[in-house]
Amino acid sequence: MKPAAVHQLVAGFAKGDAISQEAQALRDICRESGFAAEIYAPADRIAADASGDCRPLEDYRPQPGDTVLFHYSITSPATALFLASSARKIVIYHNITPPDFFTPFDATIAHQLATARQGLKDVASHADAVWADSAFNAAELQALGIPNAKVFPLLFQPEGLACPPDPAILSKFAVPMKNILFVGRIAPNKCIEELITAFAWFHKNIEPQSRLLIVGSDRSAPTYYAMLKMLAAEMGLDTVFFERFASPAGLSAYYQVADIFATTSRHEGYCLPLVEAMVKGITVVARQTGGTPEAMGDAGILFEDLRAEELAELFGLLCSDAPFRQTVLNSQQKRVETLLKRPAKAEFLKLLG
Amino acid sequence: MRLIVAGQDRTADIGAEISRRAARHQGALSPWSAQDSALSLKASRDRADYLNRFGKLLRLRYAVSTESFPIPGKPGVAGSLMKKLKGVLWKLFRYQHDRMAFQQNVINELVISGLDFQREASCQTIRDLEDRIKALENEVKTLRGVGKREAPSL
Repeated sequence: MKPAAVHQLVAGFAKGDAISQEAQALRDICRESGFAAEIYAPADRIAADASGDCRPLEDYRPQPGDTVLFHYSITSPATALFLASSARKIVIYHNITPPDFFTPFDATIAHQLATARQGLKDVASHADAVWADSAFNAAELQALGIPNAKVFPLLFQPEGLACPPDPAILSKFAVPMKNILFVGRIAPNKCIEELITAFAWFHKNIEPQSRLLIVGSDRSAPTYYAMLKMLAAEMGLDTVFFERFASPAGLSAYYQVADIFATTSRHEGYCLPLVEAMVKGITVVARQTGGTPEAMGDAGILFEDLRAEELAELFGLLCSDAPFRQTVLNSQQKRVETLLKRPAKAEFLKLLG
Repeated sequence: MRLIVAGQDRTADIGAEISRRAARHQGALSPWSAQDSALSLKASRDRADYLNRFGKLLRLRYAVSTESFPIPGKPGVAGSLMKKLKGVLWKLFRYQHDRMAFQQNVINELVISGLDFQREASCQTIRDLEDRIKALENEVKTLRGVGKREAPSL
């Protein structure tokens, strides 16, 4: 029997956030398939410009026969509501950042992450079904004694990237230089300091006409952000640009001016910006960690144990060796074709049962 | 090291090549020692330790550098001429620049001192409040003791 409604609970909602994007995509699929579908988040965690897409948790009223999808990544008031819901319960596990990354910078977030990890087993055992957005996340669940988690890779909507680029950003970076781009939350697990150090070698010894563009919200850990700014200043890097959170038009502009997309993150559940960069035809360099190999497939460049100087030389090779760059781009093109062919709607509805 | 390019393990060739090239990078990227580098913040035990370390690092970094630095140049005759022109301009206007940098450094130093004074004042307020709470708790304990002794036995 078809459920009457498929609602979703999230810990927060903002345009451009990967989990929020997936929730929107699933809501659209549900509505197309004839279900009532809404997204709910704690009122104080809904971005002002996204209030039309997400409703406050207090409005959530489960009815018999409903299904609720709970996107789990950090502890929030949505957890208690999910556990108490009379609807059929499904958890989508998006991974929880190990709290140790946050301990030096923000004890509150570290505590929230630790609590979320402790509560994961409880939340999963109360659910009728558990999904994970990567095999890496499913393996984490298995290690916690939660077998049979179904893998439903993070959804991505290429339409969002088709937005016309913000002309102000294009104009800001109009002087042609080699642009290395990072997109993601400015959070300690991303280890952006390693990317800045690699860029410093690249800028000083390989390509002085170069920039590092760091695009992402600094609200997760302002103290970590302060450290990064201090690091860039002490290395005399006046071409490191901290661009903070970007609108879809802004993001489109950053991808347009970028030559290389790079991430030195040491913990990822999946990493959607890798896919976005591949769609935009930018060579991607990423550390092999967590779910990144699943996002990349047999495409782009994955590295392990590279020193900052070596990473800088890899950037140099990508800039100077056209056939090498083309090999990487071709592999990414194939990967994008595979991802675009994914029958996400059918996959989702089959899992929903 | 491990390097996977387009799904192929290329550690032996491309990896080896970038390792060989990386050997040319010499010197230090930061003028600060490891303990005075921004990266030392990663070793903070907690938020309080972070704030202490951050304050210390900030006090080391108030000054705007007025040192000359190599002017980056673009290739070609125009690039070379522009580089020379920038060099001349720097020499001509340095006296103005140094005056402004001096003023900025004074402001920076005063702001940092102001933050230190503010922090010290806040710490003193907290210490005073803690002392008052302790004194009040002791008073409550004493009053409860008196109350118990004075309560009529049933």
